[in-house]
Amino acid sequence: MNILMIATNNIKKAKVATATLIILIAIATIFLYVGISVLSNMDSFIDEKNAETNGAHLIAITDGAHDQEIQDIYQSIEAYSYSEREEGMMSMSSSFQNVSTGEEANSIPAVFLNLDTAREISQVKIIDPADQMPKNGVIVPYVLKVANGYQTGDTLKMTVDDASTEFEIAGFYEDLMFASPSNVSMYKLFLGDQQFQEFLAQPEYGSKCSYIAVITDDINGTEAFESEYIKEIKTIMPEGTGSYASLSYGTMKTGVAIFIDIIMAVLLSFSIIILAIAAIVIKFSTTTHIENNIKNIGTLAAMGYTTRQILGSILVEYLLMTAVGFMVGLAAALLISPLITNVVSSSIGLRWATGLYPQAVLASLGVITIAVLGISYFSAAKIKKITPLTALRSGIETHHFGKNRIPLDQTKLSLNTAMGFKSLIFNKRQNLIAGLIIMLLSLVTVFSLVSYYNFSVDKTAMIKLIGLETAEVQVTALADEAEIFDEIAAMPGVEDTIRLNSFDGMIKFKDKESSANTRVTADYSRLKVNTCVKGRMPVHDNEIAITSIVLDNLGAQMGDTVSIDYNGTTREFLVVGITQQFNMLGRGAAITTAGMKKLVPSYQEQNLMIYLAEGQDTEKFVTKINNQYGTEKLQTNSYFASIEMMLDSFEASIKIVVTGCLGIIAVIIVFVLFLVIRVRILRERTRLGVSKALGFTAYQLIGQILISQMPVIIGAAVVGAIAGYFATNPMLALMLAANGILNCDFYVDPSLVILTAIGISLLGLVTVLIVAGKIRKISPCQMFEEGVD
Amino acid sequence: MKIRNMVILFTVIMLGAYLAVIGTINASQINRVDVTEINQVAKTIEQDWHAGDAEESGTNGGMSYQIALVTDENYQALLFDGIRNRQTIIDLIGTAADGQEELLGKIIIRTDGSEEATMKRNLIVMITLTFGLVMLMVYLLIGRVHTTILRPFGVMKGFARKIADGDLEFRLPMDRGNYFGAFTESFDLMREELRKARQGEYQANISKKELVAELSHDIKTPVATIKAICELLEIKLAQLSAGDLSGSTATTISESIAKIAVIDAKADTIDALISNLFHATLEELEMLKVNVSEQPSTVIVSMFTDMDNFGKIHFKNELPACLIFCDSLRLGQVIDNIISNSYKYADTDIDIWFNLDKTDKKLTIKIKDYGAGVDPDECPLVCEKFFRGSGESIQNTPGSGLGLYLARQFMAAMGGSIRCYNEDGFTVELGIRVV
Amino acid sequence: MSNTILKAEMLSKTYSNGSIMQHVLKNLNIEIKAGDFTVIMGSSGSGKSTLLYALSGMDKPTLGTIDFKGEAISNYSNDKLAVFRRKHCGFVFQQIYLNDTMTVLDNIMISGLLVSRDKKAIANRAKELLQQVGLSDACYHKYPSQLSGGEAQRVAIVRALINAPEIVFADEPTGALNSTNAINVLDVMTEVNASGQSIIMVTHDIKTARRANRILYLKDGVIIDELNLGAYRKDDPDRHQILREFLESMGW
Repeated sequence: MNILMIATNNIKKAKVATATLIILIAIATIFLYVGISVLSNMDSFIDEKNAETNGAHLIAITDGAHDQEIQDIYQSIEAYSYSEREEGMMSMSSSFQNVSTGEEANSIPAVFLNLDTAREISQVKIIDPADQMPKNGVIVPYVLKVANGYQTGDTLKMTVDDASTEFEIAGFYEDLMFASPSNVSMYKLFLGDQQFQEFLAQPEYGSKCSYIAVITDDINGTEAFESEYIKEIKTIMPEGTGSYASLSYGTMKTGVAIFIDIIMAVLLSFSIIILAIAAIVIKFSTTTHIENNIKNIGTLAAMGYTTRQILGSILVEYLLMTAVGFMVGLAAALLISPLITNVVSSSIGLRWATGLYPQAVLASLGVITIAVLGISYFSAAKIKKITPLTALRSGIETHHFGKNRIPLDQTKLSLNTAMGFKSLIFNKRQNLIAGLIIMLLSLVTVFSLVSYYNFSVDKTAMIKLIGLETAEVQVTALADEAEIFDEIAAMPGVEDTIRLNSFDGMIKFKDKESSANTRVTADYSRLKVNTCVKGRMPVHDNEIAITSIVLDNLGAQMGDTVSIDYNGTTREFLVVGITQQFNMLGRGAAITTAGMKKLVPSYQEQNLMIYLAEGQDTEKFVTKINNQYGTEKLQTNSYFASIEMMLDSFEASIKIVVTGCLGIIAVIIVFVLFLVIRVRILRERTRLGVSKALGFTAYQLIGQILISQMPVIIGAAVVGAIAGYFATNPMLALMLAANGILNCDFYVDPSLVILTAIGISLLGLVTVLIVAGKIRKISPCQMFEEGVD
Repeated sequence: MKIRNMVILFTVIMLGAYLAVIGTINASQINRVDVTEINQVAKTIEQDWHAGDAEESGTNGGMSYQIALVTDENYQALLFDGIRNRQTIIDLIGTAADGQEELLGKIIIRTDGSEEATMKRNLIVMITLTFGLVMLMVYLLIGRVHTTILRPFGVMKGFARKIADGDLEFRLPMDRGNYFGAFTESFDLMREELRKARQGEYQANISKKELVAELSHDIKTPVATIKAICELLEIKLAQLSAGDLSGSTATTISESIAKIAVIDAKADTIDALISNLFHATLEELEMLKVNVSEQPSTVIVSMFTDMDNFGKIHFKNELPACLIFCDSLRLGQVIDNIISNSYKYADTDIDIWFNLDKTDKKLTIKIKDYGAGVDPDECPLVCEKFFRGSGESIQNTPGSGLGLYLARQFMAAMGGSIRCYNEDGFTVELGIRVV
Repeated sequence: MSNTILKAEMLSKTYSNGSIMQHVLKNLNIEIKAGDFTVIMGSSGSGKSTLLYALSGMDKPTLGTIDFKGEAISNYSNDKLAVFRRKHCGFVFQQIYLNDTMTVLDNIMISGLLVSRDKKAIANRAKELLQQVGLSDACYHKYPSQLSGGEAQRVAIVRALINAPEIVFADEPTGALNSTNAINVLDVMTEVNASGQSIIMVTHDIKTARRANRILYLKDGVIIDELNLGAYRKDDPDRHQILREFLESMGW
């Protein structure tokens, strides 16, 4: 096959360009394949995982006082299949610390179950079991192993107020419902029978509860089942009492996958950026290739090759590169699969298995092949218009009769600077391309750094995005709330208190309805975190602010009037604002206390957010409150600490993604500059040779290349970094749009922008110096001859 | 830019402008009242009303309002008047004594006609922008036509004048969009073709010579056959002449023998000539095994330093850099032999001198040790095959007596010389031909 | 007129391509005197251009020494050679090699500014020289591709002369020109020589060669013979005849 021969010959000639392309394609493949394979398999993976242990479709944790009524409610719902109830112990204000890994204590509620109870639903399959179950053995969620590095045999210290006890980790379990604390801020822990019974007898650690798991007929209808249940349960238990939690499979499934979905979406968009860069490189190298080989093309055409065949040879060339790049990328993707497994597992809290997914392979191959071939076809298509005669006439001549912008006899610049600028102006096309790529990458760098900064260093913006208050302590009063709250507000060390409640409301508009976690407080302007993105927060009793997801579900807009149904009372509210939040899957609403009183005239605010003054120890404060009021009247927990812990589980994944992105950006910048400058040196070898003959030293010529290249690099890096400064938040918002995020307020540290600009410029400088250093080795005569390469 | 691209660009711009206009028109909501604002105003009025300090009509939050109470006698009239003027009407609600809400009346909020004015202004801006865009594009198109079509014609005109003036060096400035250049450039193509033809001729010549050479080599076989047949005939005829034959036949035969001898002799000559031609060179090639080539003299230094295991070799002057005729492998062996002899028999320091004789084109290497030297009687013999010195210590040292013999052979093959003599020790002088 | 300015001894140049070594110049000895117009002739592949480049310090010889006014330039570093070239050498190439992206004046200026910083002086000298070689001021701001071959080559000569070098090296300067232009260019070169600058020129062309006062004939990297035409006047018709006979005897 002659075409193949021509193609391989072309590849051999342009080694650097080929290598660059192969690497770009390989990187794009890694991202694309990983992204597609994780995204496409996540859904069925979670379903299979759940089916493995016959995972519950709905879980309700209650105080055990209404077991029979609850059972009746279940049976009254059509989709009900069967259920299991077991004894558990609920510890609302517990905190845990792994003594062996030396981590800080996490405040998180926990429900304890008996490992030895026989159960059909959500069977426990222990991963890494201890050889022998110790007496104080505990089985903990798998996420603690992958995300926090817990090991079997570690000592887990549990503290509730003043009391503390130690467990020994005896294994890990997987359960979608309690897969990750980012999803449900609660640990489900299994204890051995003996330990469990002893534990139940110690009320200081928590209270007895009923843990009810339900299997329904339709695994896809669990959310409807849950709303039905919530509606009914409110009739027997008023808001905030007795019922600790109800979790449905559907909600948990979406919740579990949300974060990894975002990461994968970032990977996919990154792979698109790389493909775009590959496209630019292909366009560039094809044009150079055609210009350099115009005579060969003419000869081939004269010999009787049709333009279709010549075009075919170029396409085959890129097809070969794509094939090689894809294989390399696929191999690399499989090679780094432990890392991916870790990222995915730690995000979803279930043991993810990375394998070879034929569909994902085909899909990514398809995308890459179509992209590469499409671009190479369009950039090479101009061959069609070249007749053998024009081709043989030493190619297409380019002339430059432009104005001489830097006449050497008048310029104030030094000779080398002037020459550098002349070359800069002359090579404007390549410079534009290189500049564009660097700009894009500089932008992505700022984006990555800012994401990392806001996820890991300063989490305020992230917390705001999630839509939670930054109160250190949350107190729920069971009685005498007005009095107690006033007392707490007056306590030393308390900076501020806000009464903030929330309930699951059902919002209706026309004939549609949607549930939303509705917050209630008297004055939204007092909140520390403003989640409003459009309009304003409610002020009057007939006003409501709703997240865009809920609004979209309802088909409503700002200015429309929606109604909230609460225990049979329906009230109308005017939508005055749009809020955004990440938690509760972006389903939220906000009304005023006055508005809530219209729904429930007897409404009392039972929840108090406490903001401590700077330097106050949260744990000590919680203990102090508990001592003062006792757990009968109050439930206290360290609110902010639990949010932080939830964020920590993301941190590792973000770190890996950001580091990877930065590394790849560096590689691409180096390769692109390498390519651009090398091609330039090859193209201009005659001019460089003559310059050397005329008496220019190698350093002067390197300096000229530097002067002609650096303004573009620095300019592009600066422009890209500044663009990153402005574009990061809109870009993030765009990426999170599916989660109802309309705008982001990530803090873009100017020093990060400056750092990016400087870093990329330095990287460019070093690359240019190294590549241009080649000039030194070449003697002027050699440069006249062809074989420099 | 190609016309096609321009059409595409124009279409895209026009489409974009069109969509933007449509979008703006769709987005501008006529008569949309800001409900949130109204609610805010109404709630404020309500609060003020209950506080008792609200007027029946006035302004609040930038909106002028009028309150129509249910108890007013002109309630209906006010209400319908408001509806006719498309004014916003909202309930005024108060809390009755039993805690229930009750309708006190209506708040009528007066709107002005500012929406219409805004719409008009937007429309004007949009139309101006659209027309401006179209005009800009027309200018661009005209400019493009000028640069791509009219200007190249001007250039062509100038070119034609140059050609008419006889200046054939002048190249037609070519542009991608210019299709005229092909004609002028075909002449250059013709020159190119001529050059190629000449090159082809040269190639053909070379291969012809090679063919002749091969053929001549093949001639040797038939010549050998001719010689064999001659000899056979001679013997056969000699046997005949030995027998009793008649006189005339005998003379014929003896004449034939003489002729055959001539043929044989001539065949010999041919054979010898061919042998001379090819055999000689073939033999030469095979026998010498010394591949003399032009080498930089600098290779010699490493030959010594490679041997300098004991640090005894000293260069007394610098090696003149030049090209020499040698086989670096063989020359290396020569030096190897001489140095190892010195190590074996003298084991003293070895000094090296180089001397370049430019007129004689000879590079001399003098290698000298400070040992006992060789027996003066045996001196002329050292380079003979299998010769070894007669001294006891020499006989006890293992050796074959071939080293210096080979050295001489190699040096001779390289066109150089070797000379051995005593001078405060054993000295060898190698003469190497300089290119 | 007898002082030597350039002297090469045992000059060899070897190109190696893997294990194959090709000796292009072999133990050459050559001496150039100030004011010489030396022409190097020989069949293609005889090493003419290599000799030219080695003598001019564009390429380092593999073996041997080159002295410029008593200084061994063959030991110079590449950068020192570059500085040597810009001060003492001028170059004229067959392919002209003007920078297409710059105007005529800029092309000359880049050479001039390497040595002096006085822009005005260089620009003036450049204009003066351009006048001398018969180029009008209309062409100062033209680009090389707007010039004819002959004009471009004359610009290249001006570029070579801008720093008033002691030696001008020319590699077939008329090779790519038609005969009228070639004569023009050669006239300029002869004038340059007459003003005291040495010229070393490689050529194939007998008409070009007869302008010289010294002809070196190179074969297989060795100067096999040389002819001295210095004794004849420049316009002596005998020159041509003697040169022809010399070349014929060389197997031209």
